[in-house]
Amino acid sequence: MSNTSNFDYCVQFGIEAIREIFHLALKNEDIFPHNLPPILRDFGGHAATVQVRLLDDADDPADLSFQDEKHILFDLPIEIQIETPDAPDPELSQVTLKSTVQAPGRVASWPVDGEDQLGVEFSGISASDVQVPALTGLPALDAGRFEAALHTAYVNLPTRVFALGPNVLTIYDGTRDPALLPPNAPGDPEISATLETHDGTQYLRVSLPLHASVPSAFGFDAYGTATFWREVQQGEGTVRVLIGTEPDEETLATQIDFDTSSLAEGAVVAQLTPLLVGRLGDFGTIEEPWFDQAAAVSLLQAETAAYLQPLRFPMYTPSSGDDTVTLATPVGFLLVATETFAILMNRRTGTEADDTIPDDFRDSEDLALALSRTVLDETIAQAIADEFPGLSDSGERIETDEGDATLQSLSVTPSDPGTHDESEGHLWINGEAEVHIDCWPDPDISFDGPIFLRLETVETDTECSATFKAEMGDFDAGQSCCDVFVDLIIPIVGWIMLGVIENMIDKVGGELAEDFADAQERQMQPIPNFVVGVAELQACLEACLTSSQGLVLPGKLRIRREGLSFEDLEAGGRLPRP
Amino acid sequence: MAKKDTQPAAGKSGKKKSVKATETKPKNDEKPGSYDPPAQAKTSPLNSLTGASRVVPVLRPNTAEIITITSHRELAVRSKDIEARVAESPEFSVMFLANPVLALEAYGIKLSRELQHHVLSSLRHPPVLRKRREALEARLEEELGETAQPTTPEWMANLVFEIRKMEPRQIGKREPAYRAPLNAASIERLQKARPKGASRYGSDKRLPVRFTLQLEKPRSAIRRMDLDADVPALKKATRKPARLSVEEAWFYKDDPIVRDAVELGQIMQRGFPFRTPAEFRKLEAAETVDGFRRFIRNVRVKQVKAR
Repeated sequence: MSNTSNFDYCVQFGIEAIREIFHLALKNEDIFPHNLPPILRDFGGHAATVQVRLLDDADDPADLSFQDEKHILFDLPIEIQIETPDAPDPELSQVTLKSTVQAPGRVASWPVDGEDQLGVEFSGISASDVQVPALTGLPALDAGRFEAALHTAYVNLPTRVFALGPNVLTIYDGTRDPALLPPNAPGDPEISATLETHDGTQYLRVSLPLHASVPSAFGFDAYGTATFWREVQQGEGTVRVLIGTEPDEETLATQIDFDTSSLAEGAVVAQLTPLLVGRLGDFGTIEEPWFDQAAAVSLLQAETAAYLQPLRFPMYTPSSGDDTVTLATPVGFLLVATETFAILMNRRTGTEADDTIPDDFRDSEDLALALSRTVLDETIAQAIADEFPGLSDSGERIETDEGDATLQSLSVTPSDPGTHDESEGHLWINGEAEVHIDCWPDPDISFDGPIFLRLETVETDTECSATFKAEMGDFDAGQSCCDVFVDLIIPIVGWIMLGVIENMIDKVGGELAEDFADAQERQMQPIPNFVVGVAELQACLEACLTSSQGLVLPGKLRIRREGLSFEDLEAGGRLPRP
Repeated sequence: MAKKDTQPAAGKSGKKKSVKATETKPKNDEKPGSYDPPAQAKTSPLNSLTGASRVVPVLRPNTAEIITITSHRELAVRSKDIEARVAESPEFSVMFLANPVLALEAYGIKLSRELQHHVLSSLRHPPVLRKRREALEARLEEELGETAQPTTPEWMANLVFEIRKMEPRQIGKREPAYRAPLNAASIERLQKARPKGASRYGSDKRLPVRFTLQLEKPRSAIRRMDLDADVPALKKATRKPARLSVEEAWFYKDDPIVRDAVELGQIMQRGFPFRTPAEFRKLEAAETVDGFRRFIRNVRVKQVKAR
């Protein structure tokens, strides 16, 4: 484990920055279309139009959390509207389901214009990956919906008069068939229905107004009501009642009751009930789009997965700005425990299969950049070889007005806070030198001590100006010989480390100004200052921390929407005029 | 410029406040063998320093027999004993850099006054600077009729305004010109090796704040003060300052005597900073820490080989 894993550099962001970028991505219609074209579906034989909408506002905010090292779990407010124009129940012609679903997006890289960018994509998502923790808009199942369907079915019956020899059974539904004779009973009773549950099964209890004329039964002629129960079946996005199918339970057998009593009533009921039951099948099957909890969840899962699958949005889009220079592919990891998004750049060893999650070095800062120990060691070794080439042979002779010496060895070791009795991380220098003096054999000296690398930043609303300092361990450097020592070492260390930091910024996709004043102060963007099409970023580095892992530069981050906002237009007096 | 961190070491933030130590009067111009702490010792930068945590007192060598050396030849002959004694107590050897005469005494090697003078004057400056210093001292004494004390601000002010009758000048916060650091060529090479910049993301940036990074400017080391550079034209000041540092006197070096005094002051401040006995004891006890105590672990002296 290390700050940079098997890579040279690592950039880490806190989850708040990722949330901001995500919200800005959500505002981009190209990346996250909020209103998809209608999708045609079939529910229970009824053609339906499904409209999927993605929401993100104060009432229905989207959100995200880190699920594992490669997945971000998104909370996405999704609204699905199902329109079924030919639904038997007009009230069921439009159902709007709404839920804040949870869907995982995978951290991945993909090429854009020849350079790889890092972001989140959903291509591997399936319906089962989508969680629907809560749901609104689920229609309530009430008998009124079936009554309406029965009224429609009644109107469509081929006949409402059933004859068995001279016996005639007429069924009514209010005044829907005014031609019937005899007309409906006083008050024009309608077909009515209620829902009842028997032994755990839901039934529709239907009351059907009727009239029976049985001349052979002492001239029986009476109004009455048939009562029958039919099982309510739900599933696969539909609810259905097979009116023609009588339940097996005896207690739920169809009953006929007449308004007037007669000695012949029992015989009439016995004769006409089979007639009625046989004709109830003419009502057909009441079948409507219907979403119980399971069906609605299933639909939301499927439609959300279908919506997300083609989507991806960028979060880190480094670019060299030069067609001949290609930056390394950014590789992302999520540090769940500390809610940190880590971006590794410049794979040092191994292949993608060897990539491992880095340590968190961001602490509580908005962002932090890390440079690996390997890069630091290489830089130091190269600098020592360049500055003191004689070290590889018999030593490097150093001549100054104050005296001469031969440097025989020199090492510089990035060291942790707490080592060498130093509470601050430091570069530990160690070496041997032979000092040339008059009138005595040249003595040898051994030396060691810390050099601290520090960044002092002045930040205002308009300025973020950092000064990099290399400082010797605490002592009075005002004395001449120490002064030579400091003069020899510190400027070199400072320039080397400035180069190291600038190289890191260059490699992670930051931007360095082409010109800089006095060969010194240089304007730069420590990280790519755009997430393409989404956000503009601006980082301000605030410290330089040295450790055995290398260097870490924590800082602050500002994010704003890329492109012009309403406020931008207003500030520039460019709002559209009426 | 004397600088010393007196704040606790920084935590993870890495942000460490530093405070400037008092500008100090050089201590390296004492007469050889004159080890009484001077009056200014109480305000010496050494006295204001707190010991760095990792610097611990060094144990005095256990020397039963005192060896007294009175001649150069004897010093060469005894070099084997000196090497052996230092090798027996290598930890204390770092004190050679504070004051070689006092360090030898601690190892039981007592030099005659003449030899003390020889050792200190030989080590204070390399031959070229030593000769230049002697020439400047002689010329100024001849010109002024007194021993030049250019590192004493009152003496320097008196030289400029009373003896040389120069008009005071408005120096303000100006600094003298300085020569390039020792390793200017290396720095130039490192500057050239910095990555080239490029406009990678266009200029359509709306966040108003820009991040700039710069390296701390090089320290104004008196050893690099450029005596050949021209003095800028300065307006006349209304008051004569009572004190002038060597750096301030640089702005009056168009007067040849002042120039010599400035050069002498520069050389004196470039000398090896031998410590007084009081300062030596504080360094030994790690009550104060200088650059050598901080960074030098030991000094290995060698015996003079017979020719």
